[in-house]
Amino acid sequence: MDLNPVILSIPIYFLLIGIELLVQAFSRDPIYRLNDAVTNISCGITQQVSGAFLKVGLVAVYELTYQHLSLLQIEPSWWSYVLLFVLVDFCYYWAHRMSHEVSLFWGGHVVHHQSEDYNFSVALRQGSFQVIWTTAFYLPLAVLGFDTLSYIFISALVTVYQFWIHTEKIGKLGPLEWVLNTPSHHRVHHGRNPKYIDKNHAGVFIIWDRLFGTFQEEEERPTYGVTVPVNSWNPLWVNVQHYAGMWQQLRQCRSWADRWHTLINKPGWRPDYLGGYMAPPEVDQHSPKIQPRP
Amino acid sequence: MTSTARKFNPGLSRGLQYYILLHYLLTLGGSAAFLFNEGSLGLGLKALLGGLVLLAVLSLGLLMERPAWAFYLEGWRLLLTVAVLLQVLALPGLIWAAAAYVLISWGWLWWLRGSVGAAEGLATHS
Repeated sequence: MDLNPVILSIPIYFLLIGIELLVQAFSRDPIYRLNDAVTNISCGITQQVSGAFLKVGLVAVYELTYQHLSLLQIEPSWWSYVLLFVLVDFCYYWAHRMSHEVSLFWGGHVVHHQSEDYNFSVALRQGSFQVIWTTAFYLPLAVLGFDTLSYIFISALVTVYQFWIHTEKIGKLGPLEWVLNTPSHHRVHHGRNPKYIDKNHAGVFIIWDRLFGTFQEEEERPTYGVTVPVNSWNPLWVNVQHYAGMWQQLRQCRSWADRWHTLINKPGWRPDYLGGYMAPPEVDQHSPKIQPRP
Repeated sequence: MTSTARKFNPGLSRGLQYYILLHYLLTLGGSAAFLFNEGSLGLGLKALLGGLVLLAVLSLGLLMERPAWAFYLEGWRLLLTVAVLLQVLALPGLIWAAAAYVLISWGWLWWLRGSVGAAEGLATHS
């Protein structure tokens, strides 16, 4: 039996999705599309199934770091859990921010942003490769002396927290907006309007964005998705599409320096001879959102 | 430069939506059972059952994109899934129910074959 809080919370996730579906039924306000929601959940399943194999190696990396490089041995207690929660969230901010600002890492995280809707099912849409790039950001916690089990438990809680912020049905939450990551803040994070891109990377505490200059208040309603739409319901293809594009660019690069920049620069970076940086385009809010008959 | 706010939303017939929804609910049940118990499975069995879960989400996702061959992939997936589960779970008593499930699903797919590979319908909303 798996005691991971992320897995144990599955019934709660589906209960909340059910509540949103009820809201949709009574308000006739479109929240869910079958194809989009199915793909979101399929990406979550794909991530959990691949994670069943990957996690052994990644946990081993943390445990080995803890065993051999830890400076302290912090005994689990209520204060150590509170401290660890804040530190995990701090590490999450940087892992998440770098997942947006480094193209190689973005390939693992882009999956979470591909949905063009915004509802609870989007929270489940996670990339299968993301954990490969983000694990290193948490290793300082092992060096500090937080044991592996405590780390796994607390990081799962930080993950579970982020489920409820994926909704358009909760507005602004008054003073909580100053401290916590809320649905309003996270809607901004999922917007592809240029002013919203690469903003609000927080997991639980929005203070990290306020401190490090990446905070953006929700103003107009965001248009969700990514600037290069994936246009697919295939849960395996959506995980590799960015890397396929990156591979093509790597083959077209004329120098190793450009190949290196392709990997570590912002998504959209290209050498001048391939067209230069692709800036996020403004979104035409007046364009029709309903696709015409194909 | 501007981009459109339009969403990707190739139309699906009502029948195909019901087919996908029913089989997706079954997939969710199977996936949950796998995830709750994968820690106690051997590596080979874990890979086999994990592979079946991935095949299911892939096949149902492709049905929504409607390439003609997705129809055949789904047919083979049903057969493979039932055969493996009967073998792994060692439930020979369920063989007739399993056979009925596959045949009904195949029949349903055959009835829907016009929906797969053909473009039809409007996106329902923005």
